[in-house]
Amino acid sequence: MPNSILYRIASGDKTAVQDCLKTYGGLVWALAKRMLPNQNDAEDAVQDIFIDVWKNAERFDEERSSETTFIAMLARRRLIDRLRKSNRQPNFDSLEDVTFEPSKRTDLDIHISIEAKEAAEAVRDLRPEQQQVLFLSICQGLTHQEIADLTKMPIGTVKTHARRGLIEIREALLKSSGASDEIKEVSA
Amino acid sequence: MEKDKERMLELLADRTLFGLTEAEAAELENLKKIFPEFENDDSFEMAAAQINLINLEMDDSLPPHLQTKLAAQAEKVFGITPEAREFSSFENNQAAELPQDVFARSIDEFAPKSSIWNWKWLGLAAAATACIALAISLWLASSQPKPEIADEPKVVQTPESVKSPELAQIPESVKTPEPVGSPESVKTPEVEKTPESAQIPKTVITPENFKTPESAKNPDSVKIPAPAKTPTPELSAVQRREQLLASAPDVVQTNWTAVKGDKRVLGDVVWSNAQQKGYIRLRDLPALDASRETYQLWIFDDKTPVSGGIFNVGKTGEVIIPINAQSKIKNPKQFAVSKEKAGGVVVTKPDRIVAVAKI
Repeated sequence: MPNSILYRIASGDKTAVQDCLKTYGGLVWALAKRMLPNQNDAEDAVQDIFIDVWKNAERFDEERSSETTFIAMLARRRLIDRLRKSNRQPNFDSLEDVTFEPSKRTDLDIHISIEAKEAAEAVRDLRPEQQQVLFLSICQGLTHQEIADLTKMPIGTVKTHARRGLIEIREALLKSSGASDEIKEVSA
Repeated sequence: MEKDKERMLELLADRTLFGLTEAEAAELENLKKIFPEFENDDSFEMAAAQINLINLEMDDSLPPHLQTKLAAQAEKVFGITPEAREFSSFENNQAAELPQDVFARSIDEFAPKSSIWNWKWLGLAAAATACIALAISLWLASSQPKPEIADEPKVVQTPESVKSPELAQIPESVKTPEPVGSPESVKTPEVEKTPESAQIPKTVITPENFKTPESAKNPDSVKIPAPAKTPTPELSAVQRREQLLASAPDVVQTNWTAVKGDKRVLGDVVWSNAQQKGYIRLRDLPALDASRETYQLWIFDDKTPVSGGIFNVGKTGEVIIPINAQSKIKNPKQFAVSKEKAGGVVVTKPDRIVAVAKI
């Protein structure tokens, strides 16, 4: 899409860099704050993430994902790296906070709102324990050992719930975008 | 084979969620040789990223000092000049809150001095040239019979739209007068009187007052009117809409629905994807104070909203607006009208949507 911000960055349009900050600054900042409670860490991570985004803009493929998802993916990679290098503690008070209930807020960016709604619909079909493990892993960045300690589940069970949950959601999202493995295989 | 694939999917999931041990990474590499289509697969990471957006609390925008740091990083990575930044569309967001001296300081730190001076001289020269051109134009205009459009730019509006205080308030600086002979300039009230228009007052919004945010911001959009041409009969927006409906085999028509149940929005959208052309018709949309607010049209290309331009409506009446998509629409799913600050926005939010029309 010629108007895609990442496409413009990849093609050398320098003004697109500012558009990128404007459009996705809030998203990246929110992701960083959620995973890195320390403000300085979060700020450093945001800088790393945007440099990654600018340098990897040419890898963006609108056929495979939206800009929002692509940037959120790069952000998550960076945040997980930072998180695992630090000895942080989970930043929620209790497991009651662990929920995938869709936000009632209406002031989210419309791009994010659409992406999140799609994912929430896929998550809703999972078993509660799968949802819980996935939330702790993806949104909080906990290791399987940390999740096992927190939930009192055996570590093997944690791994199974997480991987099965993610496999199912991936398949649901691919199907909704018309690009599931099954479709690929049939058309190949 | 099926077991191998299942194992590979597990490893790809594990890699995304928890990382792999060396042995697992080696196992994955071997499996990728059997299933080369997964060589560069990042669908698991994409799925995780999308899950990560659920419940995301976006209370704050980037702190100003972080924006400054990022601007400096951008200069390092891209060598962005101050001029490039000035022309960026930052005025609607947080960066506008930055103290000017902060921005100036970062510019001085990272941009080559010679480059700044070269650009400054270039800017001064361009400004001087523009002034001279303007002076000559004014002199010519005052010494010759004036073309109709130059004499009375508002002739492009229908009588109804001229009466509309909202449209009258649109700054002249962002209008791009069309040459006489353009479709709008030859419109007559008679042409507009279709059966619907006979019943309700109608304001036809033309491309001149239906602006994109970009063109509204771009000073280049202020053009000196071209010399008058002999008017040639052209179709009105109403007629062009009817023509599109009749002639485009792929044309779709869908009705507007108000997002908030207590309000009523009538009208429809007509769109031909093959021609990348369409019209929206709206009635009962509340009038806005055009100095502060505007309506903005969005076309959802699959899930991606693409701006279709900004517009305002009169206090009463129906509007017919040509859709001005900012990029090629591949797979239109729905249209939406949002209420935005004057000038429009690049990104909207769900609570600003006032009407939607799904295909």
